[in-house]
Amino acid sequence: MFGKNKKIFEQKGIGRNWRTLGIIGAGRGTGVTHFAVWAANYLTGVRRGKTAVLEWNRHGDFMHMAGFCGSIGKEMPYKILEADYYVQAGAKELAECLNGNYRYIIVDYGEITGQGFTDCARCDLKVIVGSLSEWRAEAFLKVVREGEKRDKSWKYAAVFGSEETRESIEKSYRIPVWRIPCAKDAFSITYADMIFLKELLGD
Amino acid sequence: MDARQFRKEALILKCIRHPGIPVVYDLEEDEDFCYLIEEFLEGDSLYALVSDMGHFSKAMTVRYGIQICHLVNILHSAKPTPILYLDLQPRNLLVCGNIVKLVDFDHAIHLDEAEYLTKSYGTVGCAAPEQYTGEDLNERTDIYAIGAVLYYMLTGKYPEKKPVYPRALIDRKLAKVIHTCLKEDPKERYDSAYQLGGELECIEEQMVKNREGAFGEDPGSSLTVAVAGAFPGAGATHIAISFAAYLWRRGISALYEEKNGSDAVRQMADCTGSGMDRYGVYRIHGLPMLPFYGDAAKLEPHPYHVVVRDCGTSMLNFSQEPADGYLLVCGSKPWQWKNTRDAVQFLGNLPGMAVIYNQFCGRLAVRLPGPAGEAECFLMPDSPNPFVHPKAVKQVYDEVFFSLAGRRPGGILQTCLAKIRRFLSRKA
Repeated sequence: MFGKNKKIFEQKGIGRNWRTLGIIGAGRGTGVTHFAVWAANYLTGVRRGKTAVLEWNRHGDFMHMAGFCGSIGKEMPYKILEADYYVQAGAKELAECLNGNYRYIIVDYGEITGQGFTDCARCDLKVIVGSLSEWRAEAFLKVVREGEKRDKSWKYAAVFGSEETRESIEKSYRIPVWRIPCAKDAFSITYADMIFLKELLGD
Repeated sequence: MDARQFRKEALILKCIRHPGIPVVYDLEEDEDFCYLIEEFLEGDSLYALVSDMGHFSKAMTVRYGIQICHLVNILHSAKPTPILYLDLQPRNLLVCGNIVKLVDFDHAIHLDEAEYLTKSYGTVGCAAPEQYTGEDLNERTDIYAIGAVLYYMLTGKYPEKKPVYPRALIDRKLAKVIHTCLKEDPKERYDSAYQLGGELECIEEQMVKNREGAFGEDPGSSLTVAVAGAFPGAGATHIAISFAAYLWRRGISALYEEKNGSDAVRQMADCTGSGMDRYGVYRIHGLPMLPFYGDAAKLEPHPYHVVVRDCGTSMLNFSQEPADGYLLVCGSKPWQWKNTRDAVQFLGNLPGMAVIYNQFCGRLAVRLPGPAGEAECFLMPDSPNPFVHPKAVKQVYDEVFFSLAGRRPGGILQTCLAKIRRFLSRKA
């Protein structure tokens, strides 16, 4: 599985220095922002690549985070543990990142919306984060059903929900659904996290 | 392997508790298969290490040999009945950190079962003659295999009927020990692994006295050597890797630590297909190498005693690095003199600093810029492969190591000298 992932991320990036990772949620509160921050800390702290995280939604989470970390009023993008965070980013910020010296550009699309989904499809690697909890699994299943012909650059992943549901979706739709380990601290990458993220993101 | 044999292996492992022997957690069976759930061990087999790095040094062979004897002695001292391992070979010995672990107990039996054995198994090259002829097996059967493994570590080959001991690799005492282990008649071999281990310990002590061994490294102490280049391209990474590999080959638990943004370790790991362990350490050509991680990475502290830290080319970071010794790598070519002089002047009298003039070429180096203060200078000849040390390179590292270790209060060399002094005063 890792070999294939590595190939996707590498092939999509041929001829340029940067890779884009789009993260989008099948419903609200599935952990997209947590995953984006976690992945950014892995890519900077472990893979040692300069990383930008773009908030491509209107939730305002990045501004709250800036407030918590004392970065409000400071220069934007603000920096936490080597990763750069772009609050309420748009086309201008994305262009800035693409022309900058970033190795990885992570885009947090929030929950799935029409335009967000189309934008996410342009990224090199796309991760759809869902919840497999019984009261939320329907939104995730809807995305899976609609995308039966998606290529291998699309990854399905979930933190919450039962193992039975995950296995059943894998079996019914013949797609791997990654179980994201429950990382309490998105700014701390343990050995187990490294193993998982290396498998999922490759490169 | 049948289920009975499988259960026997689990039972044998369950009755031994030692850090060098894997812990058995559970034994599961279903209709088709048996499952033995054992402790996960991270490391390379002696076979893989020798294949990767070539044969070991005398010091490393003796150090690992002592550990192997200790493990075999634990099995032979098992109560109520001693255990015979009967398949000791380089593939069944894992080096984890710098500790040897014994795995794969397929052929292990209790001593009282030995006389009822109808078939005997072993590995060609390591199995004792009595395993081929079907004669009685006992503790001395394992002693033969220890001798074969010692020979393998030293020469990279299994012993033949009349083993040859290359003079450059081996001294007479060690050759005699191996020769005694490999005697065809079991009665002529050592009586026990304990006795054999004692002989190897004497050789190690002698090596300490002769300044050629692993210096009886004190596991409680640690040594950090910071390495930096006077300018980009001076060869700091090459020297740091090469010095760590030199220490590792001497049987010292050494680690190369990258503390710069070169990403050299990851690139090497990608090339060689090495994976990291739970300390975040990659083993490349057998050498433990720690890449540069950011603050987000939370890994277990590594267990290595000597750290060679590659600080890149930032003189400011290098001078502020908390270390026991400092190696400044400079160029010895005329067009590198200015950079070299600037770096040496910047560092001034950094305590514990030594200067290495890299790729030293006698004909070109007409005038070397003298370092400030009392820093020692070493002239390093060109060596293309940092994992392999020609004699001239090894001699320079011998001097560098003794210079660094001797300088630190309570350092490895000083500890050993103190031990020797105590020993001599007792004798007197």
